[in-house]
Amino acid sequence: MDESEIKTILRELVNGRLTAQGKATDILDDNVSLVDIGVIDSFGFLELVAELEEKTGVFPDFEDADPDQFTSINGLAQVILETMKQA
Amino acid sequence: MNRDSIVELFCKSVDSGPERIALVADGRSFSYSELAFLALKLAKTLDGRQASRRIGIYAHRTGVAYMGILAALASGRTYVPLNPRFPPDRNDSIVRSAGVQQIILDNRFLGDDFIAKTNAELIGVDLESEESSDHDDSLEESATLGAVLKEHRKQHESHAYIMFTSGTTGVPKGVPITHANVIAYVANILDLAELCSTDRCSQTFDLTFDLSVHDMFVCWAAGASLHVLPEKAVMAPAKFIKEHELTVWFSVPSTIGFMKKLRTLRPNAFPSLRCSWFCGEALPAESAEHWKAAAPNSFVENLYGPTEATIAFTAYRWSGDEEVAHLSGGYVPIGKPMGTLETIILDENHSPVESGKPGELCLGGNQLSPGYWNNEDKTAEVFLQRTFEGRRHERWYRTGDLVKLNINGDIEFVGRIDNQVKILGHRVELGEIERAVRQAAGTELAAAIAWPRMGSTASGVVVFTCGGSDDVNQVMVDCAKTLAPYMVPKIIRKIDTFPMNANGKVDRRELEKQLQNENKNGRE
Repeated sequence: MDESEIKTILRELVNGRLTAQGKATDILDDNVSLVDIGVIDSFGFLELVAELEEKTGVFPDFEDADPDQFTSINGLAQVILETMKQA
Repeated sequence: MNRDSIVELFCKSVDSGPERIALVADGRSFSYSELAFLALKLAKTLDGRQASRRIGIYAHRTGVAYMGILAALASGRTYVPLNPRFPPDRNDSIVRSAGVQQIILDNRFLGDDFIAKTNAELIGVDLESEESSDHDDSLEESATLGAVLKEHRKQHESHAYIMFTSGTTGVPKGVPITHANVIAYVANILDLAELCSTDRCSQTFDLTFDLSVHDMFVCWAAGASLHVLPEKAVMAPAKFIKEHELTVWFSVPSTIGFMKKLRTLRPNAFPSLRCSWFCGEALPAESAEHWKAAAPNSFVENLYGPTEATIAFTAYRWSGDEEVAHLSGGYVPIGKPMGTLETIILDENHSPVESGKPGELCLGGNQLSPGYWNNEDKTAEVFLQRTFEGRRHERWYRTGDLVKLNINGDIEFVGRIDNQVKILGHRVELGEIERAVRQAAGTELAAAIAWPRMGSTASGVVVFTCGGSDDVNQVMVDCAKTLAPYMVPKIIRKIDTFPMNANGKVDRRELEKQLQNENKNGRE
């Protein structure tokens, strides 16, 4: 699985949430924190990570990840890629 | 009247170690003398503008928040924390209730809607342009910074701060807390654990949550350094704890659950920690065990207390030898009252229950608030004047928490006697949410359920409505204009009829059962 596939999965998951919240899906910027723009809260983030694991088979290793980064689509994709590299 | 100010806890540390680090926030460190200097300068601005007695603080996790609080207190005023994460109407309601006429503003929030609409006078601070080298020589000649800050104590307000908590009427309730209340609290906590100037303490709580007062003043009283977690690190603090080599931790227990789920709570992950406190919601015994394994050099202590009784009132130190199966609900007990504080457990007629029987926990002692802000009826309802055999105190706060004593004499939390719930540690009256939904949806029928549950706490709210608007997304958007983010319903569900119980009231258990069944069947 490469970076663009991971991002596609992530975008699908996030778009589902945006639709449920009655928001337009084209507001999504891969570099913006999903927490900052109110798409997910901290529990929502856990749910997102669990769904991501279901779809990719990878649970991201957050131990040394920077919380300022990993709540954006790009940031979370990077953590998954790093985790896959170390596996 | 006791004229001691909580600023003196800070000043003592300014005098004893001016060069030591007091604060690390947003990538910048402030020594005690630097923070005192900045606070003093701002205090003089407040005096120069003849600011009123209560000062709003509109800042978030940067130096401005902390110098603002110290400036308000050092100049003898009461601080009223606002929250840039709250909707403008909620901040505005707090400003109007508290009679705030001046707001110390972190200029980075200058563009916020609340700032554009408020009638209060703004005192903007731009930390980038605040230079600590801008020392006023005359200050240094006349006295130490600590002594100058103390000058204002002669005329200070008895209230140190007013915190606003969720209220059933839809208007947040103001809880004023005196300097004497906080001084008593800090002394009680420092009796539990001796902190020292080499400690590095966490600051996880928003300023609108009274546990932030513990973060600041317990740390500064010990001359230690306060390390402010960036917003998103509060959710996943492992990296921050390690990088800052924190020695003292204080957060809601939910943080442990998050870290466990993110798999960042590994054995011996945090060897630097030596004190770990948790407060704000029930602490599952399993969480205490996990934390103890991750921080093997630290004690784990469960603190309990409502805002009305100043931060925390009882404490229980987890030994690790407890029989989890014997603990009520699998939760760590809330323990015994600290210092000279007293508790009593009463039945519905306000008579003490037999030992071991459940009843409402009531608190007595010098940490009790004088009463709600401008709300004598509510004050009379929950603050009792009563004497009880075997108790010294005559004024009691009814917490609404149902508890019982275990065989060791420790208090165990059983539940609530009303519809108040905890969402991520925040106290929430379901009635306040229902009121907002009724208004937004144009219906008389709305029932809020804390959901999904995580032990005794919940991660959000689901609201059932009957009649009114079909556009539930718009109802949610309208609710977000008045409710704090953690109170905004995650789902609004329209149903044809409400299940009623034998008393003719909405059957909340039945609604919760529906959610449980849906969850089992895989529906969101």
